[in-house]
Amino acid sequence: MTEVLDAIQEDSISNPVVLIVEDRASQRNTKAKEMEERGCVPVTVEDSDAAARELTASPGIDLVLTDIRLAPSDGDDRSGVKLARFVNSAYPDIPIVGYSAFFSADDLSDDELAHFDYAYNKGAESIKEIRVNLDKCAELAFRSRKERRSRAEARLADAAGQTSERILEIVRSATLAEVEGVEQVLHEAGFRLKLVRIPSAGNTEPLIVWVRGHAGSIDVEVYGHSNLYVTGGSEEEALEHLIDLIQLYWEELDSQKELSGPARKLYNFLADLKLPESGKSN
Amino acid sequence: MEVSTREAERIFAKLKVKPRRSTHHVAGVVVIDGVGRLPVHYSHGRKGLQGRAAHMFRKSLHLEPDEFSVLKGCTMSRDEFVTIVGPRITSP
Repeated sequence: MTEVLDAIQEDSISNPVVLIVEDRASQRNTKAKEMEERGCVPVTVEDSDAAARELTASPGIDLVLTDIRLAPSDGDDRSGVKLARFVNSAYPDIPIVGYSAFFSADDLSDDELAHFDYAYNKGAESIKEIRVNLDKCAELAFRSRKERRSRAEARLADAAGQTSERILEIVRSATLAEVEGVEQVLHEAGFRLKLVRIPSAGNTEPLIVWVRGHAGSIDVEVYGHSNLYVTGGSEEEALEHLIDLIQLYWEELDSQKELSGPARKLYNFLADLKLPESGKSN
Repeated sequence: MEVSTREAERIFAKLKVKPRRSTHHVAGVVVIDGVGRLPVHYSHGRKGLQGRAAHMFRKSLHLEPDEFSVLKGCTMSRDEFVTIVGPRITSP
C-alpha cells in the first residue's frame, strides 16, 4: 500500500465506509474483500437506485465506488455516471470513484468524467495497476472520513461547549449534511446536547437529543433526525412526548408496504432502537 | 409562523396522509407513487403548532416558507405538492 495510505490509516480512529455499486455478484464480493483488506468497511449494492437508497438510509458512507456500466443488457448503459451526478448534487462531500471494463476513458466525455473524483478503466489493468487503483480508492475513503470527522468535531465542540468524547464518537456516524443542517441552527437557537435512553428500546446506545427551553416550553429533537422533534411544558414532559412519538412513528412506518427517502431513513433509525413489535395495527 | 390543529388536519387530508394517533401526537407518511416518503406529525392540543414546531412541520414536508403558505392557504393541490417536492426527495 502507498505511504500516504499507511499514514492516513495510522492516524484514523474509525474505518471508512465504502459503498460498492457493482451489478456482478462475483465482482462485488471481490471488491468488498479488497477494500476490507485495505481497512475499509464495505457496503455492497447492485444498482444505482439501491445505491441512492443506501446513501439516504445509512449515514456515514465515506466513498462511493461504482461500476460505470451497471446494466450490461443495455450496450450503452452509463448508470454509474447518473449515480455520480446524483452523489455530486445530493452528497457533495462524498467522493465517488468510477471504473469500467467496457468504457475506456476515451469513450466517456469530459462532462461525464467530471462527475467522478477518480475514474479508471479496469479492463486494461495489470495486477500492479489494480492494486494502485484500489489503494487510491482506500486513500480517498480514509481522507474523506478524516475530513468529515474533523469538520463535525469542530462544529460539535463549538455547539456543545463541553462535548464529551463519547458523544463525539456516536456523532461521527452522522453525515456532514446532517451536522450542518441541524447543529448550527440549533446551537444558535440555544439548544444543548443530552443523552437519553428509551426505556422500551432493546439494549441500544442512548439517543443524542437537543434540548432547549423557550418561551415557557421545552423543545427536544433527536440529533440527526429532525423529524423527531417534540415540545413539552417541562423537560420530563417533552421526553415523555418524544418516547410517545418514537413509538407512534415506529408503528406507522412499520405498517407501510414500501419506504424511501426520509421515511426509509427514519425507519432504519427506529429499527436500530429495537423497539417492541408494533403489531402492525392501523 | 403558526399552524392551527385544524390547518394541520386539513394538510394531512389534502396530502392524503392517513393519520395515526397516540396519546400526544398525530403522525403519518406522505405516500408518493405507492411509496411512503415523508414522515410528518403534529401534536394534539388546541394551541396548534407555534414557533419552532410550525417551522419543523413545514420542514418535514420539504417546503419553503412561501410554498407552505400556499399549501396552508388551500390553493396548492396534492399534485402540485408532488410536482414541487418529488424531485427534492427522489433518487436518480
